[in-house]
Amino acid sequence: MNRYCLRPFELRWLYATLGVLFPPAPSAGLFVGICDMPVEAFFADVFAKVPKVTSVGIRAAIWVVAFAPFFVIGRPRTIAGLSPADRERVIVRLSDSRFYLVRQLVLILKTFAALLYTQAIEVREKIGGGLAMSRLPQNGGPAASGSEASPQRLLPLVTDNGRRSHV
Amino acid sequence: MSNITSPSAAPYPDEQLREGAVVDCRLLRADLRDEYDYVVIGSGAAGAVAAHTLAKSGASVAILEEGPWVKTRDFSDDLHTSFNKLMRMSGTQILTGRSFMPLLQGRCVGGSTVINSAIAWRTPEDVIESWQREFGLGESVTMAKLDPHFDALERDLNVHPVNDDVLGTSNRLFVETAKAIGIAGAPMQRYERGCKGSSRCLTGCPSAAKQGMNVSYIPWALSLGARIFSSCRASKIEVRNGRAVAVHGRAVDTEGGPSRKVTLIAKKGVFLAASAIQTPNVLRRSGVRNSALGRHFQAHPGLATFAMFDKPIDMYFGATQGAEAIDFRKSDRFKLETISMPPEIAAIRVPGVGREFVERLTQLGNTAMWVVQVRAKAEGVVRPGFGGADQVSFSLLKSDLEQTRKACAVLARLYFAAGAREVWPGIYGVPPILTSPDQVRLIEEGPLDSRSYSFIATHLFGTARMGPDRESSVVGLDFSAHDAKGLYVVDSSIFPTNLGVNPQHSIMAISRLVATQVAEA
Ligand SMILES: Cc1cc2nc3c(=O)[nH]c(=O)nc-3n(C[C@H](O)[C@H](O)[C@H](O)COP(=O)(O)OP(=O)(O)OC[C@H]3O[C@@H](n4cnc5c(N)ncnc54)[C@H](O)[C@@H]3O)c2cc1C
Ligand code: SF4
Repeated sequence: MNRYCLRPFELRWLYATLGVLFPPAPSAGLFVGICDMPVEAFFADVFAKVPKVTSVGIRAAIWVVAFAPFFVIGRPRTIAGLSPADRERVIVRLSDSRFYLVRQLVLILKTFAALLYTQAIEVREKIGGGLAMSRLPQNGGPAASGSEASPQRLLPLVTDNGRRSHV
Repeated sequence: MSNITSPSAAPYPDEQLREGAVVDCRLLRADLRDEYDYVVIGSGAAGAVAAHTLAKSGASVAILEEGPWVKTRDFSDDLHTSFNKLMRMSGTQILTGRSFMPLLQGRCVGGSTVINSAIAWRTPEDVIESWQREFGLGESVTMAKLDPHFDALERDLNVHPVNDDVLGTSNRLFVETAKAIGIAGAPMQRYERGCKGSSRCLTGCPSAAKQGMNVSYIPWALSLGARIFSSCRASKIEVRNGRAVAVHGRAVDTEGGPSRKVTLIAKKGVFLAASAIQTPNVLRRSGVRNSALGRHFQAHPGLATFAMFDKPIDMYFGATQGAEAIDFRKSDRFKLETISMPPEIAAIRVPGVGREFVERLTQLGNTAMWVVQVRAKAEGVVRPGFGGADQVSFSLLKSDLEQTRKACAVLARLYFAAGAREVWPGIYGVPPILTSPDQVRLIEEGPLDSRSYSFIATHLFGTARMGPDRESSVVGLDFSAHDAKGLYVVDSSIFPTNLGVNPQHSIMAISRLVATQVAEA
């Protein structure tokens, strides 16, 4: 843990935001959403490694989204206090905001969240990268095929209900 | 987290280096002082080639590199890990101006060549002519002088067009469709030996096929007796009596341990090759004062567009960048290229929010990503930022945005001609999803505001311009700083303008030309 780590209330806001950005989509065969992944550990790692100015940007983005419901849909709640449908309304409006800075802040969160989300093997398998990656030569060796593809190369995926975990 | 499942038995060129050839300055127990004929700052395209050329001439050479040496076996396909290890500011640098533009630079042994796509382009003749005519470069840089260096580099780095077996669907589709509609699309020429089409150039080639400096000129220079000091940042060049005599540096990334001082005496000269962003600030810290220093920064802002097809494109197989069209470089100041970005980056540009977004994401296997590189006329400024960082301000001109818009429209037409079901232009103010060629006019009528586009900067130029006089340039016609003899600047900061083509080849050729001339003098 380092001094830039997110506080518990910031984490609640972050989970609420990311849950909208990368939810499970069972209709597309994707049963895991980003909230099933180690969001807290990932952001702690990001904060430890990126320059301070970037962690300030991430934190600003979390705060702006957290208090956006009041300005965007007139609800005096934080993002975490809204129903999933209202959260989505807020995020859609922010991502399409006429204010460039607001759009950029949402983009910052989406960018970092994508780093985590697309590392999960379930996601990679679904979005194509995983399939192609399994065919790739690993560091100069012959191409791995089928079962030789290495799930351990992906970030550990832990879920609340213990459905899956690759640790 | 290991990513080595089937390690190659044969050593890579970045293994089995000569004993004592690499000094990892993070491990220094005391301050260090050493003496060489030449000290080279930076181990990227410019620095590596200069170091190799000088070492080959028999001179003793030290290379100072701020980043660590990340070996081929330690490359990871996890973008977060890779960016932290290989890129400056973990890949979070930005150019600021009317909009923010991410700026990617390598910060490791091999510099940006470790993370680049290995595309090779000789400097266009019209660019050289304009440098001679408009910027007074005269006979210092001519095509006739550069050609032998291009030849040698192409031999050394095995430059050739992308092999058909690793072209991949996206690149092939681009070439075939471009030709069908009268655009001269072609496979790219690249620096590689045995590319396996892993599409992973951005996170370091896992099979050392890409001939980045980390597996070519740096190991070759070391085998000729050069020594590299990695994880050591050059803080200043000491200039005494108008001559560069030493480089002072400090160990970095010491994880809280002591940061030892490194002093390298340069008996014959210093070659500065820290890139067009860092070089002007190294010069400033070294006491160079000049009104052109840090000014005239230019770039080739790049912009990606996506399209979804009804068939698999599988952009994760094929050379990372394998096809291009150069037709529009002279007439319209842009170049079209294919690219394959890792899912982490591709995901950011998928339109939509929530389930709709994720559903679209699951069809990423059917998407292609083609990009425009704009030869922007805009000029920016590089200054020292807080805490030793570099601050770059840069805003595109209206004419640059007009060309960008035009380029995006050409790409959209190309996508539809290739059979795309949807085109995602990624321009704020234009619908995020276009479904028919008739809608391409929406791009043509799109906004002329840089905040509507998601550019990225990787090709950088001009911040220590070369020229005959010290009023308008920093470096003289002999490639040394006007006010410091023996301080040769050999990266693209000396280019009077951008090029309109990928710059690594021009950078290496000019660096080789300078090092050869200096060694022979
Ligand atoms: C993602 C990406 C893709 C690209 N693709 C292509 C391509 O396909 N073809 C092409 O032609 N070009 C490409 N480019 C551009 C090309 O890689 C660069 O133009 C080229 O590498 C620049 O060479 P350089 O030596 O000036 O700088 P770099 O290669 O960036 O090397 C500079 C080195 O100097 C070090 N350094 C900086 N400051 C200091 C200091 N104070 N002390 C010690 N060391 C220091 C840096 O850490 C770095 O390692 C790409 C760039 C990127 C980022
Ligand atoms: S595409 Fe080719 S050159 Fe690039 S990383 Fe893969 S194997 Fe190496």
